[in-house]
Amino acid sequence: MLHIIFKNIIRQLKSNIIIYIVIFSQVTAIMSIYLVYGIFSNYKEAKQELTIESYTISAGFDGVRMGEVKKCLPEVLKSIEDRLDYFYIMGSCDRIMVNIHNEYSKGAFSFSKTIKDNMKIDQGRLMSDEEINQSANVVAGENIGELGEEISLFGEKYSVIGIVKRPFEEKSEFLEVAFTACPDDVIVYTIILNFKRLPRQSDYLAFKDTLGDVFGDHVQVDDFAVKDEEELISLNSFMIFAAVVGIGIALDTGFLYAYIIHKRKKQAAVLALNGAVKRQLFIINETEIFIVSSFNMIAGFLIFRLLMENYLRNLYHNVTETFSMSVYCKLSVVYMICVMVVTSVITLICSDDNIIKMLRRAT
Amino acid sequence: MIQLSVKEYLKNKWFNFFSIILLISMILSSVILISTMEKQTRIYRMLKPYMGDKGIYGATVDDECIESLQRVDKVFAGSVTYCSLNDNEVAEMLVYDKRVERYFKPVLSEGGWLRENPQSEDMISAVISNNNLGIKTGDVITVRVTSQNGEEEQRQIYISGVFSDGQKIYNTEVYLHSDFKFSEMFDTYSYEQLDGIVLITNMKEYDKWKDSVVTRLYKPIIRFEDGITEEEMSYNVEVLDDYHSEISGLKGNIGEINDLGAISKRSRREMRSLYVSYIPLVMVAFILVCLGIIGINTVKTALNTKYFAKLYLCGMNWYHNMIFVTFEMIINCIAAFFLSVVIIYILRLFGIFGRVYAEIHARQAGFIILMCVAIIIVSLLMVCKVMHENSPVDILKDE
Repeated sequence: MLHIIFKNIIRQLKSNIIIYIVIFSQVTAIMSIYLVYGIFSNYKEAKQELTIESYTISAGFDGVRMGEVKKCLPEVLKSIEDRLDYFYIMGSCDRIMVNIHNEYSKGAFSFSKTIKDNMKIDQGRLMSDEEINQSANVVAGENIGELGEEISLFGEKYSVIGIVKRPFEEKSEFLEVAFTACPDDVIVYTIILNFKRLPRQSDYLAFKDTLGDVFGDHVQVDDFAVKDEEELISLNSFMIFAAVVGIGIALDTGFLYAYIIHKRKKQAAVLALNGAVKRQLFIINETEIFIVSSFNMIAGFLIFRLLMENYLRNLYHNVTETFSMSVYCKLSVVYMICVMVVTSVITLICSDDNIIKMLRRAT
Repeated sequence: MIQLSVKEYLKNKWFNFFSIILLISMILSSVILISTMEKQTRIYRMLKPYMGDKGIYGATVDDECIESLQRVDKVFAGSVTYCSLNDNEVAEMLVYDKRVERYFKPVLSEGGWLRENPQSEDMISAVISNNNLGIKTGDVITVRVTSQNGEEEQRQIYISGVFSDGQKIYNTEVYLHSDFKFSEMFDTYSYEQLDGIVLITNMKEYDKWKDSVVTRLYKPIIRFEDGITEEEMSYNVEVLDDYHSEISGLKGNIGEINDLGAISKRSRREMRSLYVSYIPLVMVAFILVCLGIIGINTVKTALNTKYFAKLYLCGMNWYHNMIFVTFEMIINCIAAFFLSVVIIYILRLFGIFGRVYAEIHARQAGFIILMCVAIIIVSLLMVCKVMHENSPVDILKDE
């Protein structure tokens, strides 16, 4: 059977110009699918960023300590609490990264439900609302010590009540502490307010003015982002465009292969007259398509990797993580499965006729 | 002949079905790409005639002041009027001229764009943003405006529609800085986030009030003729400075940040980088169109030549065969076009996959026609080439 398959491929290459068009189309299709995937990922990422930006207000600090933040932040939180989901403070204590994810409502603090639902606790637990409001010296974190151990932060003792597992492998020390219990000497880098409803300009001004009055040049409040519906529609349009192009390109390859299979009826009839069963005819066709497609895929991958990947990375900053080997493999496998499924269906339809019908149609 | 063409078309139903699907994907991708690019680049396309090397942007002016300037080529300015809706609420009324209206007509969540109200000739029609005063489509609101003689007057506005949040409108709070670009002239507006109520009308409607109500020309682009001399430029700057000091009591308003040449340069640079980001998108769209044309025509030619050779031997000439090909391709193109329009309509109506920019205007229609003509011409050329280079007997022997 292999002998027939290779003979078929060689004969096609020698005499049939369509096979060259198929090769050209398929190599281009493979490259385009990688390209389309890059475009899709870039705009998807941009859309996510834009959505997140619309729901957050953030500020960066330089040389500010937690003690000063503790004095002025509750006033801001009080004025925006009905729209606020949670606030996030990132700081450091020696080399330990300090994180605070707290909610604020009617003068009381609690741990952010959004974060709690997404945080993986390996051992122990996170601080309770009671502990937060009583300023209990408890922390949860990673690489800071064993469960139940006591650690020292700026001379104060804190009990480790939970071991948190971050989504990525990290060797650095990281801890979660309550806003009320956080040591005053912790250096603050960022405060991000995450809203459950779109923040208003008045919320932004309350945050900006309060921090500006207290910290002056030591704080940089990011610009207020109004939810840009037009930009979101543009990004969505580009994503749909990429998907439509992907479908179109796959269709085109299927179209050409369908023609080749259609033209094989005469050969199929002759093979059938010589005793070949449907299953064998199917295997001959599909193996041939698989071999040709595999070579085309390797060629497409190499050309894309060598010529286009860097260009795309420079142009779209969001695709840096997109083009890993595993992504290439996944895309190639998906593409190959699509080609094989489409051509199998066509092969089965074409070989459904009896031999006489096949011969009659072929002539 | 037509009957035979129809019969041939139906005979090749599977080929035609797949051709139509491929054509639909080509049309849809082109329409989405062109529409989105049009939307994203509209500010530069709108301001292109006003972007020049010599001129001033953002000076405080009125019509009289502009008339006293020397060698003015073009002026672009947004007009703003303030309307008191009640004791606490003042709405900004933006007046769009024809050009701004063409590029920045807002998308409405209800009602229509500036429908005429037959009730009064004095009443102007406008669209309003979302608001907390309960003003909706069809309402007639009474506002207080400042008349030319400085007194407050009551006027009526017919609300013909409500525009939705999150779209770009003329920015009346432009902050001029050393890196200012024209893209900042229009900013995203959201009542939910920014609170202030905004009304938008056009010049045609506003002309009813123009002579009696105070209007501010907001940060205009004044482009001077290319051949303007240094002396004439200095004179113009002085006139603008004098006018500004008369209004505000401050001298020396026009500085480097107002230089139209520098702003235009930065804006062009931004526009170029925007276009560069489209290269991969245009590339994949182009690849799809080329592959589609090649695919459809290769299969078409390969399928038909043998049959055409047989028809030729039976007495039909090549010219008639070409009519078959043209007929088939025209029907496919028309069917694909109508199905694409239906798909776009369904996408917009039901919001499947979220909102998408897909509109068929002159540019999109031109591109679709061009693509269809290319497909028909290539298919004819391929058939002609095969027929010309081979005799019918050769074609049948090859098969």
